[in-house]
Amino acid sequence: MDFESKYCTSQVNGTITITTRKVLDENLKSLLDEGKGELFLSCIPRNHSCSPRWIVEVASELGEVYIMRYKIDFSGNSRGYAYLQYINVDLKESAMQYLPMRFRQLCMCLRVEPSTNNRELVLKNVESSLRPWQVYQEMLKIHPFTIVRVYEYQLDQFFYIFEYRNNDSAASAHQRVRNSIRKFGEHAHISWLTAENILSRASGSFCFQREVSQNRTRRVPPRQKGCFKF
Amino acid sequence: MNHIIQDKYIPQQLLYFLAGRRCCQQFPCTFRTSEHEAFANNARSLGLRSQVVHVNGNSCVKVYKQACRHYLEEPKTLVLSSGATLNMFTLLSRKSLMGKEDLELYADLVSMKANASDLPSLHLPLPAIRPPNLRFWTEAQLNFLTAFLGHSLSDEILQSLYASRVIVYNAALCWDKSVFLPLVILDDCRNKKSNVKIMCIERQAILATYNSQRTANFFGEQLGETVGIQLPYFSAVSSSTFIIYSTAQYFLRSLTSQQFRNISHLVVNDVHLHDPYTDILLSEIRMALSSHQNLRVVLLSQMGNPKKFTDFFGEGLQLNMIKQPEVAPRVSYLNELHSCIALAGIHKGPDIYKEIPEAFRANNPRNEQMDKCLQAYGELGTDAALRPFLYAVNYDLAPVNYRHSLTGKTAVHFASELNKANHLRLLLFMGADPYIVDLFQQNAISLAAMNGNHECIDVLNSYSLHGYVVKSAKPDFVDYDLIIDIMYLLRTKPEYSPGEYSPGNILIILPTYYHIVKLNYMILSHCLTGSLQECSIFLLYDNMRNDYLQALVNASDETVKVVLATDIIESLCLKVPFKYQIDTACRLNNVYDTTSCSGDDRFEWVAKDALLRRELILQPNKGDVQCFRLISKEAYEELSETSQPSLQTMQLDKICLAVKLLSPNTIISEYLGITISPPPLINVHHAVQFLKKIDVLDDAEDVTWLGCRLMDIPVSCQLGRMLIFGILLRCLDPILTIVSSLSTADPLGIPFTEDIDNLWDRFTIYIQNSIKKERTYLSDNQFSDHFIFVRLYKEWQNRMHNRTPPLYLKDEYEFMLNGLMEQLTSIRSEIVSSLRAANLIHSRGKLSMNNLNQMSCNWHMVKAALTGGMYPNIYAVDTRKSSLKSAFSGNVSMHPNTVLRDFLEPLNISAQSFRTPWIVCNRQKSHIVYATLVVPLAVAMFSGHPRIRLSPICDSEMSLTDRNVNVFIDEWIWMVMSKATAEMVMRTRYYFFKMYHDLLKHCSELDMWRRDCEPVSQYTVLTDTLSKIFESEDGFVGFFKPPPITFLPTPQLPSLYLLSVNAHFSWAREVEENMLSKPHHFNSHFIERQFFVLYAGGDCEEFHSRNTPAFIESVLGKFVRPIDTPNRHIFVILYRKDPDMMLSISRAKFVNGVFMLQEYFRNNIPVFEILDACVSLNVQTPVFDGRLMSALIDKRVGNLIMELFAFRHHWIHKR
Repeated sequence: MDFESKYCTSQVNGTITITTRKVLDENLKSLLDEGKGELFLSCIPRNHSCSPRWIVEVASELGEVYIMRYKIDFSGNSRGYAYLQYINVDLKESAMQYLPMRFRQLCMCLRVEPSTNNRELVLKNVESSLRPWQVYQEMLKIHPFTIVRVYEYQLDQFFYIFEYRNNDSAASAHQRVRNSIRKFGEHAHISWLTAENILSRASGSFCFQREVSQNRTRRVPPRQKGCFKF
Repeated sequence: MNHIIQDKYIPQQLLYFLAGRRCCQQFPCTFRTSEHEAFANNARSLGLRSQVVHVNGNSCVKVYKQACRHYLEEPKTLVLSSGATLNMFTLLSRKSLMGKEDLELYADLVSMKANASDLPSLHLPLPAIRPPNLRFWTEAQLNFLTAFLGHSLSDEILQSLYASRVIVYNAALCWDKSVFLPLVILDDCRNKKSNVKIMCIERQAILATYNSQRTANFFGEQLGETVGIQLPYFSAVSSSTFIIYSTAQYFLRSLTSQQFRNISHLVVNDVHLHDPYTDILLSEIRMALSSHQNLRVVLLSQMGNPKKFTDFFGEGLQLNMIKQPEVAPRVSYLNELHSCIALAGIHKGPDIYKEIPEAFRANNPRNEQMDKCLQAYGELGTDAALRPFLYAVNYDLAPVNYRHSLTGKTAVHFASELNKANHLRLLLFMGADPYIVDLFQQNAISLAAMNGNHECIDVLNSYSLHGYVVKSAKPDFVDYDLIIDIMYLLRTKPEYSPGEYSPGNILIILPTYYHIVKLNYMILSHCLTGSLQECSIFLLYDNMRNDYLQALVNASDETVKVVLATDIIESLCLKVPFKYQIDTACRLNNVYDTTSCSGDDRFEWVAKDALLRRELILQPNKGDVQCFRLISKEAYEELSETSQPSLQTMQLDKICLAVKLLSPNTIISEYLGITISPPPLINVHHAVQFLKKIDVLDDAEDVTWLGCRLMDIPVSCQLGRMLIFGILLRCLDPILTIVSSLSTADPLGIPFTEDIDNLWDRFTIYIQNSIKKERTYLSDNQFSDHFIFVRLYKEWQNRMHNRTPPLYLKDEYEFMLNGLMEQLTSIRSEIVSSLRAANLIHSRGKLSMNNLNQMSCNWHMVKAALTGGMYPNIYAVDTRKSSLKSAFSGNVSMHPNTVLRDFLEPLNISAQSFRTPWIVCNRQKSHIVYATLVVPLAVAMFSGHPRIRLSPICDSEMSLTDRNVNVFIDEWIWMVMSKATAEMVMRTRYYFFKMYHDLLKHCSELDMWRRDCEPVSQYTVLTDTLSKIFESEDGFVGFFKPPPITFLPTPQLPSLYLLSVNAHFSWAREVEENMLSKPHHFNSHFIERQFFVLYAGGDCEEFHSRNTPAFIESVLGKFVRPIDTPNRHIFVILYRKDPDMMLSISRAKFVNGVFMLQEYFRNNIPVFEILDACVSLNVQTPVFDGRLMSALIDKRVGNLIMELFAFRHHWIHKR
């Protein structure tokens, strides 16, 4: 089978996406969409010597690629990194060993690491007149998230951690929130929550939080016992 | 030989020059130094002046006539302050800078030319071309296809497409060609299984977005699947994309690398409009046809005779579908409109403000001066006596109908009294109104008759016979009052919309965004006061956000829509039926004027064919439609058939750059000469010379690095260069504000009397003075109009507290300010994203936004950046001759707009307070509209070509003793300074331009601009020192310390203000909310209105935060159950004591059963004004007493208060 019939290439703004044309099982698809087994390729040369198609062709020697997201700048050059996922999530480990070696054989020194799949944004300095449930409603309008965690660090002072489905959706949420940040007051600020942060999900602190399922249509505002009252 | 040259040749050359038209000439440096003296002597004997100048190290002679204003007669001195000297010295003595040798060699070694391979290219991802494997059309899709007007002809279209490579498809807008044709072609290729990739080229991004969205909807997909889009900031394509929409400008940019590969069909829309980039694309296509045999080109047009396109290509078929419609709409012209309105007896607008005494006259110097002018004319009556008055009208924006403060007489009165027929004729031509009566109840006609001045009576008679209202006879002014009158005619007089009862949608075509915003407020205020029925207002303009268009597309059919649009409506295929069209028939055109070397914004009538196209938007086949043209029948008859292609009139700087990138090896003028609308050679020549001067092109006409970077920045080259200087001097934010302000209308521009609506035009002088005062206040003694832009923007930003502007209205100025600032912020963010795309702003490192704004608070740095960016628009004041000199030709005067001069103030008086002789400015024609005084050092440092060497320094003969040297920055900027200063300045200059060059060349190498990178961090030292230097220079020259301009790091400003206001006050909303659609009760007379006053204690904000709507409801309920029905509106007026004033007026409503207040207007209106108004209109005066929490007031008083709120004038009522 040739490349075209196996994979579908598309470009939206600065991302070239190469996706498999294979129809996948719903569960597997949602698992993959959440970023399971994602690899982070870096040190991609800026010139055209290392096209997204080429990378996928090399990577599929190991197994079928589910998706690759390849970032470019305005002149179409690579921004130096890309994300790669196999349909078989278990291939991640072997890919991390095999791919750098294979790339080196082809005289390309790409680095392959597990992706942190950072998908949490933190919203700070929200105007105090806005209650958490209002923030919750506003943020839902901007971009759907999976979980919000609210922390009250002083009386009536909150900060919010929003978790999105995957890194891609968090990135677009970040952009949209930034464009309408003034809804949340003069000094409101949104930023990425790095994995090293103590509150990040990766570091495993689960205190004072309540998850909000995404499937429920009528959502309850997050409520934390003892933290604040409505 | 020497003798022959000196005795024969030189005098002969000088005589030629004397006989010629040029005012000055530079004789080449091939003459020997000994001959310079001969030149000078000969010139003196012929009465010419001469001067030895140095150009690139060679001295040559310049000779000029007495009247020449190009050159400085004597050099301007430059003396550095001690602080600046010290700083500069320390800077230059730093070891880490480059050595002396480096400096000397640098300028020669480094080529400023960019290699062809280095040119930044745009990436247009076009996947390989394939045959489509689409499903068959569904029934809905088939229905959709058959609904197109051209569906029955699709076979014919395809036949001609097989027969010829180029077809011109000519059909009206409603055929929706740019959606229909790609679908037809795709359908055909699917059946034939042939390769297909269709590129659809639109004129503007918004059109591409709109059309691609509709085509994607046809497939029921998202953009980026079968239908893709390619725009600078939004692109979505994939390997299964077969139709791609783009704009001509963007597509041309990608052509350099892409050629026409992977494209099977090219559909170019709106070729008849001759958009400059479309015209260039056509010649590119013509060239490509020879190498790409299989390329098929479809040109879509709507014009009478498309033969010129087939002629241009030398091949091709025409498909002409334009037929004369059987039913033409009723078209009325200006003359009929005026009589129609006079007959209808429209009672519009507020009575209250019509009665305002003209107490604002007198007691200001400008009125006194004008009175003196008139009085002198009245006494003398000579030509010379009229001249000052004419001057004031022509150059100082004084109204020609100015009335004397004491007698109420106008110039026309005097002229007819004194029997000056030629003066009278002139004044009438200038727009004077002879029917104005003075305090003795006499008008010009009666005065002439009384004095038996037959000649004047004749003139006045012929005027009244062919009488025209000048305000609307010129394309320069849009008669808003007339548009409102027509709206009244249509909406309140049912006899003018006969037949059906349902009112139709109205389309109003205006020339610019500024006009749209202004009219928007006027219509809103008339609607909210209830004198016009409610309607929904929609706006369409160039560069609008898609949301505006979507709002109109998604509006329900029930609503009466009033659409205010620019000429973009000619290319937007909307599914909205319009019943009436009000067409101002004018447009704004940027015309390059070769005599003054500047592009002027000119208002012109549109051509006949454009009017015809607009007429067809009405779709006359669908019932009774009417078209009002605000142009007199006579003027219409004289219009040309087609308008001139803009390529032939516009300023060509961006075009030249684009052309140079398309074909780097062709001479620009040659390339443009073979386009379909070749521009005049002189325009191209000027543009190329200008680009060479500002270092966008080099001497060999190749693109420099600067040119490469400016390519994708959506402003003119000059403004783009200003941005680069803003980046270099790290004061990007104010420069961004200035650049985007220069690209929008100025909210604080001083209006002509014609711009002010007729309610207030008696107060023209007062309003102009107030605006001038506001400008002076904002400029804060900085002698800068550009500073006003920065201040105004910051003040507006601070007032918003970074929140969306409130949805209540205050007055027209506030509304316009918000509207214009909306446009400004959108231009600003567009520029920022383009700078990011061009790698001039990075997300981190030295070129991060924060770093680039370190100097933003220092106005002296911004001035320095302005000097560099505005070059060559630099003027020098010659106080002795009281004139302005520059590289451009002669008579330049300062527009009353600039803060550098007062009204009616001659230059030598205003120049007395100038701190320096150097002015950088923006011109319109020969008027300086925006100017800034800058220090001489800034001129010496940043103007001129980046590569001038030490050579411009030369010793002047007579000043050898004090070691002063002459410095020629360019061919006319001539300074004298001490030798040490000169050397230091030139050194620093090199150093600066090395940074300039490094930035432009290496800005895409992100690693080089990291925070810790050594060579680049030296530049930080440079800018820091420059800041110190200019600060001490500013103080030394005597500028006052500017008020701090704060820089807000992330100005995320609200956009879409106008959209939300119009949606807020839209009738459609009310219908939905009340679930009661009764379109039959349209006449406003059926509506009963009740007004309550409420005591608010403090201000509105406080009141609303303290009281819930439920509480207000209960207060009102004490009087009467406030039931709001479609026929009964309830208004709540808030007031306060000490000082007694009315604060706001809101409408009380029940939305889904919940009581709420919708605030209409908020302002401060003193109670005494209301009492006065009541007296003058014979209404019983109400009592406003704080003891009463609330009261029901008389309907007439209520209406009166409403009108006071709605028609308040910012400048007149400003206290």
